[in-house]
Amino acid sequence: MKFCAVKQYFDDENNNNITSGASTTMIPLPNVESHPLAILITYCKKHLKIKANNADNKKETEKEMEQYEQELLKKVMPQELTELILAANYLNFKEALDFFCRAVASAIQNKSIEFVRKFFGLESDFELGEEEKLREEFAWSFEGVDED
Amino acid sequence: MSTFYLPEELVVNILSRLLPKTLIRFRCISKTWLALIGTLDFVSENILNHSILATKSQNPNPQLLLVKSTIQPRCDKHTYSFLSYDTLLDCGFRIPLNLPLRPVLRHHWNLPYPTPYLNLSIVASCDGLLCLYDYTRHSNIYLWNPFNAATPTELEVLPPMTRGHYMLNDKFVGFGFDSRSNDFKIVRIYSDCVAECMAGHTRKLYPGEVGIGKGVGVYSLSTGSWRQVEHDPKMISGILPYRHMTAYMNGLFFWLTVDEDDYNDNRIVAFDFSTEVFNMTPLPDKSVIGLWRSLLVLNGFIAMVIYSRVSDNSGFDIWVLLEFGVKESWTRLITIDPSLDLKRPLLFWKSGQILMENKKGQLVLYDPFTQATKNVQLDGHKGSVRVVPYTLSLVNA
Repeated sequence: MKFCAVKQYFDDENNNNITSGASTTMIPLPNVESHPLAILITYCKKHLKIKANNADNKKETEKEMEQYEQELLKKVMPQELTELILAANYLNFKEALDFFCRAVASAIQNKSIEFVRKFFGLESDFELGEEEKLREEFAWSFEGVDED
Repeated sequence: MSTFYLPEELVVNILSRLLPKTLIRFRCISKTWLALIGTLDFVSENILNHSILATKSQNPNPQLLLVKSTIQPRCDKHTYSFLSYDTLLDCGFRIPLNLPLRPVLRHHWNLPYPTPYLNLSIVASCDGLLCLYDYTRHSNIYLWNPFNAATPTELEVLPPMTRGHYMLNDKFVGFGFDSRSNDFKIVRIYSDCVAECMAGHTRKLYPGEVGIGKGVGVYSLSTGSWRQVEHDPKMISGILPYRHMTAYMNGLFFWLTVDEDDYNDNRIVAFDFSTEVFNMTPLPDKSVIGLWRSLLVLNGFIAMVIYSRVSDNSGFDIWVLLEFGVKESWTRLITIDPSLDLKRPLLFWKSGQILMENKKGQLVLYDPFTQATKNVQLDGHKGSVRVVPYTLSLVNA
């Protein structure tokens, strides 16, 4: 089930006996910007299309979906990924959430501390010397990390 | 550019997809992330432990486990049983492998003269195919698919790897799958020197003497033939000939080695069946670990068991290698106390639980979180136990 939050809205609407046509109902989504929403809608449509095309063949669906996802990632900036994650989470769109979390994990797998802090907008809150101690003890985990 | 604060549950969602090396590094990002990621102590519920103990989609679980036991070493009867991997319940049928051994002869090779006992060990289990070999003597190599033929005790003998008149003194056989060429392969490391054979033992070289080389041969199931493979002699010079010091995982076959010149230089080497190249990682310093070791596989990581003493009343530690090639990434995971009466670990099961042989020779399941031991019900098995994963496959030997 995709866009569960939206479905929930419709269900609530029906429960309140509002009989306006679904195509003209406006659903407020205050926590989602238009750009990530557009991407999620495209993702959803594409997923449904691929699924319909490969009705019984789950493997083909997976393969085509993977190809589409690779293409999509090329067009999306890494910084946009957090927006997309938040949007997918708010809309309760599990497949998209999984996909974008996977994409972020991939993007940061081999990155430095500084890069990741910047990416998530985090700051170090360690006491003096604490961080250095950790870095020294696990120096091996810092080898082979991508240059910033 | 505005920053978007991700709620903790989403951060956890992302972090739970990262490798242990990355997680360990990211503990330095902030105190929050340090607490979130946690320490590698095996038992706490944290992201770091989860990254090692949880099954990953790249390494799916096998459907079955093959259990092999012999009443005593050098016995002429082995019993094989199958357990469901999910439930550890006995599948109900037994395959005995008795003497006299009647392997299927695809070709007429010379078999070794009849032996009074059958000391075949499982080299590795790979996609439904087992490779068997006798580690105590110069032996043939056998392939076996117990689900294949009408007679499940048919073994296929590999042609010998001949090399002129020299007797090949070798105890080093590895078996695995090359995913690049979609082919099963056997790798064999041999010593090749007339003097060595005549003397019946290895010895140090005199200055100026031609080297006692070790050679490497690879057999492809698809071609049905052996070929020699170039290798780096430093990688395999001190290779140890014990089956329990080997392991197979993800297209790689592992051996433990000791440097013949520097007995403190212990290593683990891996043969990659796709590239046919050896790589190695030094072991942690000798002062930290003992002499008696064996290898295990843990969810795509290689693990090493260190026994504290050569006696029945010893406990053992299990270490895991988080990054192959990096000596510092060896991490002690768990310590097993001798009072638990556990003799040796056999296989990692789900979620960090371990199948072990206890001091009575029984197969048990140990839960490190509760420290509880549970007997695995298996009739007819006594003595030395070995467990390997077994994946049912459409591939036939």
